[in-house]
Amino acid sequence: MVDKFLEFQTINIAVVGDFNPTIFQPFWLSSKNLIREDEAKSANVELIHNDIVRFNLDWVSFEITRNRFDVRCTKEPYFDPVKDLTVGIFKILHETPIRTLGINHIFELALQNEKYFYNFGKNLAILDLWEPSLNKPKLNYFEVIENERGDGKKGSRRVRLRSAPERTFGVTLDINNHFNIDNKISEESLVNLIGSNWQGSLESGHTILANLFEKNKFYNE
Amino acid sequence: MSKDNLTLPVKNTDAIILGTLPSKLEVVRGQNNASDASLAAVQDKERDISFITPNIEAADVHRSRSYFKKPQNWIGFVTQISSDGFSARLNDKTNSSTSEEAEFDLEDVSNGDSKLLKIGAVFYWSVGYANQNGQIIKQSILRFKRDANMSDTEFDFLADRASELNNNILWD
Amino acid sequence: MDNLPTNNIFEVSLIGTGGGYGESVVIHMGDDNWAVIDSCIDPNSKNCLPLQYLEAKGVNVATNVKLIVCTHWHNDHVQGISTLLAACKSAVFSMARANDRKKFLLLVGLDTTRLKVSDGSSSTSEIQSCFEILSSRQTTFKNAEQDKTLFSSVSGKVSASIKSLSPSDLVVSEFDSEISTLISEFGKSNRKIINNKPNNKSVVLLISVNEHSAIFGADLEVTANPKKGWLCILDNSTVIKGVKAGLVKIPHHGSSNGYHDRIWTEIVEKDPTAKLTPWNIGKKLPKQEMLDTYLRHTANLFITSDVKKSSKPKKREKRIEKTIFRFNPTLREIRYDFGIVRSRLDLNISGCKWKTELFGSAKQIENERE
Repeated sequence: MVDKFLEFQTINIAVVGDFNPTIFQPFWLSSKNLIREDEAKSANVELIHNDIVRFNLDWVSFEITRNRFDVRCTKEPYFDPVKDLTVGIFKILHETPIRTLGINHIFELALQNEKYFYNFGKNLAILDLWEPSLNKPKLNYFEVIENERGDGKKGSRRVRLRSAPERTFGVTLDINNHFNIDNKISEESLVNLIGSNWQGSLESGHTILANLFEKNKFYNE
Repeated sequence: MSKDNLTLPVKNTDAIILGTLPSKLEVVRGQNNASDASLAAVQDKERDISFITPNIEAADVHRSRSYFKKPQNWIGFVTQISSDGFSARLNDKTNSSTSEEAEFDLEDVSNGDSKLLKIGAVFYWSVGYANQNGQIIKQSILRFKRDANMSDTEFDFLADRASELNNNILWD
Repeated sequence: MDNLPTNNIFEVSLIGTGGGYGESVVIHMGDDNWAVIDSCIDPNSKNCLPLQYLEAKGVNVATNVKLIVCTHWHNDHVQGISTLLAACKSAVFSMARANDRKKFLLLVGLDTTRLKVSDGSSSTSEIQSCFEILSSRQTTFKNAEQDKTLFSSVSGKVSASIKSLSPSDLVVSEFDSEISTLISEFGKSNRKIINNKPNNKSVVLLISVNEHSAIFGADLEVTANPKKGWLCILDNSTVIKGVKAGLVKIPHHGSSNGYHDRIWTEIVEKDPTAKLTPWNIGKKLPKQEMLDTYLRHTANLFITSDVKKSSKPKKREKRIEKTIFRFNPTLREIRYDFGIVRSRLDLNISGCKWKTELFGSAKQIENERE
């Protein structure tokens, strides 16, 4: 059922810590054999500044500020290479102080028609509560938090749903899989966290989406 | 050029409005401690003020229109190499039951990856439909896995662990 | 399959997976003493098959499995072996000797660590897990080498022993150099360590229970150098002298590299029970001419499943199948084909012969010309 409504997914790895953004440039990545040399040559560099760096390759986008490292990919064949790239970067920069890790899964849905679109939101929030105070209330944004992870690690998960006007009857489901890192200088902990949680995070993202569709039978009403 | 010593983006850009950039960055810099997917999600207010020019916003949207629709993905490793290709054993990433094997041509390997083609080398292979700005294309993508070399710290840790195991195991 | 063999039964069960997911031999030496050689898994459930076999029979694996031998660290011999060792809490673990143990442990650790951030499973991660278990458990690791007793037991009417016939001293010292080379060559790089010719280091076993003997050939090959491989066993082993095995686990999937006429004339009795597993990845084994060769030595030849002449692709959604076919029509499934060749003899009956039963895809190979 999910496949009928899923347009595509985005993966995003966000690391919060203390960074020097200007280190992160395409040729630095290729010099460390983390990407191909031709990819570095054809990179689209948008901004390089002491406080922010932004560039993208054909398959991954980078944005790094003083306290945040962010990579994003919308092409599923490259999800694992993005993981490898991130792990490789932080193996090299193993003295970088790091505080948190987010492995984020963003599912872009298109619900096909107005009835499904409305029912989807109505099943998440009791819109009747808002009538007649509001005229034809609709759900625009919805957030659920899991305060304590079920796997014993420090962190939490957060799920956000919002309508996505860039697509017809579009909904974006954004799952933030958040890990706190105790050891501040943490090459081992970050690299191992990503390595040991990557596959599970991908699977749990799909499970959350599948369960949502299983319980929110907007297509049956 | 502004006094901030910014390096200008290189493509598809005319003028970039830079004057307000430092103050906007100051706002973002100290406050973003969440690991959410996008700066926008956490700092909606700051994001709404376009401190980065519309060209870059457009690039954001452009990027989001390139994606794959449910590709079939494998992870494989090279088992044999011949003059015109290689054999590999593969595991389906979505259904890891029985393995598969296949032969690939050398033409399937991108130039930038050719040095990585060795026995035992791990690679990713995907086939499926890609959407590139609305154009649907059937694609096969083969990419060898890259990873940074082990650090000295890690190597030393493993050496110590090997020593510890050696001392703990009761060898006959 | 029926339950526990009684104390007077010598049982040898060869478990095969169709030539892609490993093989294993489970042995009952009488008196509730069990041993396992190598390990394999069901790729669908990921269950360790020898462990599953033992538990299904009602064997108390924690106390009655006395020895686990890893004949060599090829992927098709070690899958699930750490799970097996974890469950068999009383078992001694044995592998081919490495003189510089610390270096060997480092080599295994290096390769395993590389895989922690990848999706690969590997033989080294299984072996690494075994070492971690042995370290925490503080049980003995037995080095396997030529003419070494790995297990022996005398109880009432049953006298049993397991002896390793290989690797030879030369192979062990070559392996020590190989370890150093591998560490310096692969060291901190991100390449998977390639273990050259692990077959040379294969552990061949002789299992004797009372007057009966069985030889387990692992993947050992015949080499030109008489100080290695089968020739070294035939020329130099003292424990094999005078032995005529009534049961043989044929080496290396029946390949010609694993065959020497002297094995069958000098240390194996006439018309023994012989069993093997197929190899179905890349080149297929055994070839028909080798089966014909073995059939000249015995009419009791068994295989855990057929050699597959060709393989088909996995079943998938039609659109995916079409796309795969367009880009790579050579993709094919490595099929899982489970089979057990189980042989038993009664130690209480003088001159008893092996009786063999077949389960799953196992079959007897018969002379086609007759």
